[in-house]
Amino acid sequence: MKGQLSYIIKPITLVMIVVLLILLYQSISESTVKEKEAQKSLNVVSSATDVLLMLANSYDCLAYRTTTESIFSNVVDVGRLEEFSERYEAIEPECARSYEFGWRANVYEMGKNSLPTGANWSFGAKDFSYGAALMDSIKLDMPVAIRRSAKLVTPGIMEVKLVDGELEKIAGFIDWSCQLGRKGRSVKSSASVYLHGTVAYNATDNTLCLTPSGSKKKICRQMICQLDFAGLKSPGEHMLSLAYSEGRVVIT
Amino acid sequence: MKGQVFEIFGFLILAIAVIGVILLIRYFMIGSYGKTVLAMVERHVYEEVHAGVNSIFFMTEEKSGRSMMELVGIAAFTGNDTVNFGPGVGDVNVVKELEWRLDALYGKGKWHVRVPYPDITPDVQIVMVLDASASMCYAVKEISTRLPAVIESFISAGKKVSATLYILPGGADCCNGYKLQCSDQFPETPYFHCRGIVEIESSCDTKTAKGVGVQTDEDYGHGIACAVEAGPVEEWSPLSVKLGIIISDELPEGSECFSSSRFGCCPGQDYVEQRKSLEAGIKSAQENKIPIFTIQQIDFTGKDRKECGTICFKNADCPGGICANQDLLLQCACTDLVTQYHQDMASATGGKSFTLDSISASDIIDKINQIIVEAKPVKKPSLEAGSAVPSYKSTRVVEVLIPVSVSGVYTKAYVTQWS
Repeated sequence: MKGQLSYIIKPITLVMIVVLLILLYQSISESTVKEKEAQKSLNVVSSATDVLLMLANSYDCLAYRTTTESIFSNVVDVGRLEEFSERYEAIEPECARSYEFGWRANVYEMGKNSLPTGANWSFGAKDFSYGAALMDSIKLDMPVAIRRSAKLVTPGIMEVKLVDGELEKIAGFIDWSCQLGRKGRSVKSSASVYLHGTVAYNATDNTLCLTPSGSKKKICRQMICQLDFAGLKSPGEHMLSLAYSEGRVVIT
Repeated sequence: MKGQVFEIFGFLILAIAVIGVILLIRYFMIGSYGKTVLAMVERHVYEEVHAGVNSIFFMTEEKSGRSMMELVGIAAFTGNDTVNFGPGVGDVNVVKELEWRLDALYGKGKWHVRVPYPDITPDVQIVMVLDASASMCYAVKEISTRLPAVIESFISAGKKVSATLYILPGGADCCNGYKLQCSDQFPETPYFHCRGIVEIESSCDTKTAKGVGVQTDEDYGHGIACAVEAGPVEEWSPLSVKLGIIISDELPEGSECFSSSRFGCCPGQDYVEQRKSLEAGIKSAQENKIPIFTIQQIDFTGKDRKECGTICFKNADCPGGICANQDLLLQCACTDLVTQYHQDMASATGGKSFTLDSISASDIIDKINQIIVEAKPVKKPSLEAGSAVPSYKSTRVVEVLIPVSVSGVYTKAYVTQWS
């Protein structure tokens, strides 16, 4: 009887040990995936803060600089705001560009009643990934002083909406290659992208557009360089090879 | 049987160990993730608070065009949350200016600011108005010979005092060789100036019914209004203690009551124009927050109190001079009423009245000296704005170095923010 019992228990024990080990393996894998996702989410927060800091503190961006070259942190020049609103109506300014994410900034003036006065300036990407193509997004803000003149510096809020999406990733990668090519540092690069939709390039207005699967709404981003790109006509993983040549990026 | 029990027991230990490992992995992963998320969020909040503090002190106040850092520096110098920029700009309440900006940036009830005020003695600026009627001949001698020296003595002692004496129109030619007008008899120094009040009439907002700054040689009500509005020669400084002084022996615009059957003071008479002049002076001084000190003087040297001495002046009819016993003259007859007017002016503006009960003929300058010595601003220990810092919340404190105007010293602004 003892022996028979042992014959039953041993295989059961073996099976349960195997189950336990599978659980352990799954748990470790799941944690690793979660950690990666968390890392991405942290990158979004961190990048949004970085974008705000660069915009408010860099003279290349909006920070006011005196004739004696002194730069005022967190004091933004209204002239630069006007310029950025016009020049970067549909694309992020190079001074604070993140090639991983897309963003749009909105600067608005605050009044005595703690409400916006109505004066506001906006610049950066116009459209963002949505639906399955959207991975994460965040909206953060930071106080700034808006310098209209030496004797008129008013309170304002600078707000940034930062998006982690498939369109932003692919467009960022292409723009990054374009910038590297322009600076003569690299002319060829490649990357693997995963898409929940199709991508098309419109050469007329130099925009890259993504249509998420199951949706008819197309979202587009302005590109820095002109592209030679036939688009990606099916969802899924794609391997892109980029080459910079005479101001154009050739994508195969 | 024992063997099977041990087998099962062994499996249980293994199962517990594996589950423990899974739980530990999850705990450390989640714990570490949670900590990193908090660190990231805290980094943003820290940058946000810093950005707010950096920007707020560079913002400007719309009336004065001064930056908040300058305004806080001036407030720290004067020890007062309200900075007075004189007529035109007027008062700027630094606390209120900080409040609405920080409310807009951080939200109401989520911040607190404290700026300790250093112990600094500010400069003193004085505008004086001198009655220019002939009965003041005695005063002009005292003032021109002693006042500039008194001002210089303060400067030598390290207290920066400046005074501008405005003489009302008229300019009686006194027998003692002095004239009741600004001339060579008044030395011009960096800290003492004498001007005829007509020179600043165009800068005065307050006008008489005739549309001019002052009416008569005794119109010190409109005169002090004009002096306060135009300011001293060097202009009002927002950093100074500001004072006004009136020296006269009559009612503003004169003590005469022409409607009476006799020429002279008429106690009980309703002095409408005189009252209007006084009220104009009070209004202007109150609006500009400048205390007015009045010195009622009559030359009664060698006489009993309130008895007039001798007044001697020259005019076209009598180039050699007219010397008169003043017993019957109006500046003596109206003494009590003049005292009342002076007291009204001083009490309404926060100044002090020196009447014949407290002043002898020879100590006009001593009284001016006393006014300057006692001129100390009511100083607050610090600027405080915003809500009380909650002890149960996590707060962030940012320190900003604030240059205190003129003094060459610095103080710190402590800005506390919480969510």
